[in-house]
Amino acid sequence: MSGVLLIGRRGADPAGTPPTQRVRVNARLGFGALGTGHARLTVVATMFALAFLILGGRLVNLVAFNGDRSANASASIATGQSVRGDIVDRNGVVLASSLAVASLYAEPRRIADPAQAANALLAVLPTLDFGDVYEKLSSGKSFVWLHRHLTPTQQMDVNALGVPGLSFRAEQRRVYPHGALAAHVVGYAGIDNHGLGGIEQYFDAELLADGRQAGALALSIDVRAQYALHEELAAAMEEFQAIGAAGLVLDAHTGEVIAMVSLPDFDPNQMGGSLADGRFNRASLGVYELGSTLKILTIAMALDFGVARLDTEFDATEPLRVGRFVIRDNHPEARWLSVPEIFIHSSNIGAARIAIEVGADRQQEFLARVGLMSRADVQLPEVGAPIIPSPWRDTSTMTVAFGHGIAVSPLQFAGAVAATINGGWAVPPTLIKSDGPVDPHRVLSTDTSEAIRRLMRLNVLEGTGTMAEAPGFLVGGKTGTAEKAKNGLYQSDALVSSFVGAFPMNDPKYVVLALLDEPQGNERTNGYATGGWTAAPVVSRIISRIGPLLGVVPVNTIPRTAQQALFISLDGRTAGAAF
Amino acid sequence: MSRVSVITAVPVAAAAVLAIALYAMKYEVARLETRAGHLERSLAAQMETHGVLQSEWSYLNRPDRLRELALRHLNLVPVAVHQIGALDEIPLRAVPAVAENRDPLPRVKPTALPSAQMAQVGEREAP
Repeated sequence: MSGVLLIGRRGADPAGTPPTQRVRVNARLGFGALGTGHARLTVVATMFALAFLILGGRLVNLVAFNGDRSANASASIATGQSVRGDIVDRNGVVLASSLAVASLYAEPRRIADPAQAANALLAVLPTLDFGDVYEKLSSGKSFVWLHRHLTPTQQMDVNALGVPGLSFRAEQRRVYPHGALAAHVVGYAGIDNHGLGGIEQYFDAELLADGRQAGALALSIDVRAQYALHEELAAAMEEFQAIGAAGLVLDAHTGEVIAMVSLPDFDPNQMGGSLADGRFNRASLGVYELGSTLKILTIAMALDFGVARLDTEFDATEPLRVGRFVIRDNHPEARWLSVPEIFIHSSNIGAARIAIEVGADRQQEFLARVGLMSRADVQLPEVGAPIIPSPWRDTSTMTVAFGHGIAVSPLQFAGAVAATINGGWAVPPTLIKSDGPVDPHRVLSTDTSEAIRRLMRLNVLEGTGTMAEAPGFLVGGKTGTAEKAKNGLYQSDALVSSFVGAFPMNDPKYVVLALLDEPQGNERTNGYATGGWTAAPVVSRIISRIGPLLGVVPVNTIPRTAQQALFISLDGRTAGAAF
Repeated sequence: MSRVSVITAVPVAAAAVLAIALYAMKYEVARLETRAGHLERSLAAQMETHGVLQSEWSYLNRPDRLRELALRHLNLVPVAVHQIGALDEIPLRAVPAVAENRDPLPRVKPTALPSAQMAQVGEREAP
């Protein structure tokens, strides 16, 4: 530096050339000291410039963009605590939602006169207990809850008291506008906003994390169908004084559960008063020996393995003796029966003989294929595992053929029936609105499925299921009556009566299942409490109500040829060479 | 103006302009942020209201309530199966036979009718 200055002074220039120019001249001349000095100056100047640029940049950043605080951060501050997501039905009807409510708490240390404050509070919140409130207010703590989830009116009343030391905290309250209607599907959330049952529990993390922003969780349930099912089952349960009932409507092609009811049920808005029996989901958690309805699968399996054709006959002349068991028919025909006859007379002997022909291994393999050998994979925490014979003896093969010795949940059974009539595709039941299974695969042939459709229709026209007929909807189905086992013995007065049906049978769209737990016969049913007398009429009424709702075209507009195509003769010979 | 002062003046002027621009921008940003905050709070409130209204709507549309209202106020029952039909089932009106396949001519204006006949028509339609 000093070198540069010296040169400037020494070379006195009368013209008064600026010193900088002189320096440049000297540097060009190649003086060593001058060159070094100039280089140093440049480095220092550059560094200063850079420093100022960085400072300037940071300044602009701070002023214009508020540093690193992004706009998103302020958004989440504005919306406050995350709101638990809504649950809606397949048409967008709200089944569960969160409301902002105020909860009352006190800071007892700031309460001057606990007795007076407690009295004032009781005047506006009569449900509180004086002793309890007084104890809390005089506890000297810094925080106690007094009343969670006040209504806006209650909040206003408490505010009007003007008692210092009482405050509100904004909280979420889960509300279920439809109450008990879909209680077992939707489930419920506890006071701290965590799911404790049903969909609420299964999707707890998702509902909490995504919140309302992610959009509502759309279930496969249709509230209108749910209501029809709920009402009809409740009426039947009352008429036959049953201890419980379960029902399902399943889309036969997508596996979507359109309606699912278990009775008795509970009001998720008031979980405090509900009984354990009400919380028990008979449709998915309960497993039952379903009785003769399983003959659908027995015959489907025999046809599919080619063991029998529709016109194959089996000997049902006399009861079948197996070890210490005797397999009897409830309405003995006491002759050889064709496959359609076994089905419509619900012959246990015939079904057992068919199962023997198929064999235990293939029977188990088939039942596993349609999903009866393992727990159903459905979006509920309450799913019952089936009870299957272990070890699987020959006796098991025979009893399972007519639905005894194996207990499955109505939900998984409805899924299995759907597969036998929808053309043979596996349809695991789902509670979420969807377009069908992600991996469509076949579990039985189209021909078998076609035969089962006809058999089920025949059974409603001519067999044990006549009471399930709903004019116009071509109902098909199978009855089931099983005695409940108590302490290892079957009880003749404790039945599980069921009916599984589908409609319209020329192209089944929906599977409907109704089950009554311990129904009692009455005058109208001549004292019978069997599936054909108790559950079949329920299915008939349900189909009459939901058919038009779900857009199923009734039969009087279906060409006669379509109806005739469903006909099948009792000896099984005129239904076509395929069977 | 000497070169030194130019060299000084330009950065000073630039600094001044930048300072003023930054100052203006800072206030603009602050204003926008306040506005964004307002909008976000308003949005949250609207969403909350929307949620409440949706729950209310769902509650008021309970199937059992609708049934009761329908029974009380409407003289309607569910559609019966025989009431549902397809468009194809409705027979088309037959085409009237026209002589020699010719298009029909427009009708004559009814002024030619005798007045007595007109009066009769009027009487018949009166009751």
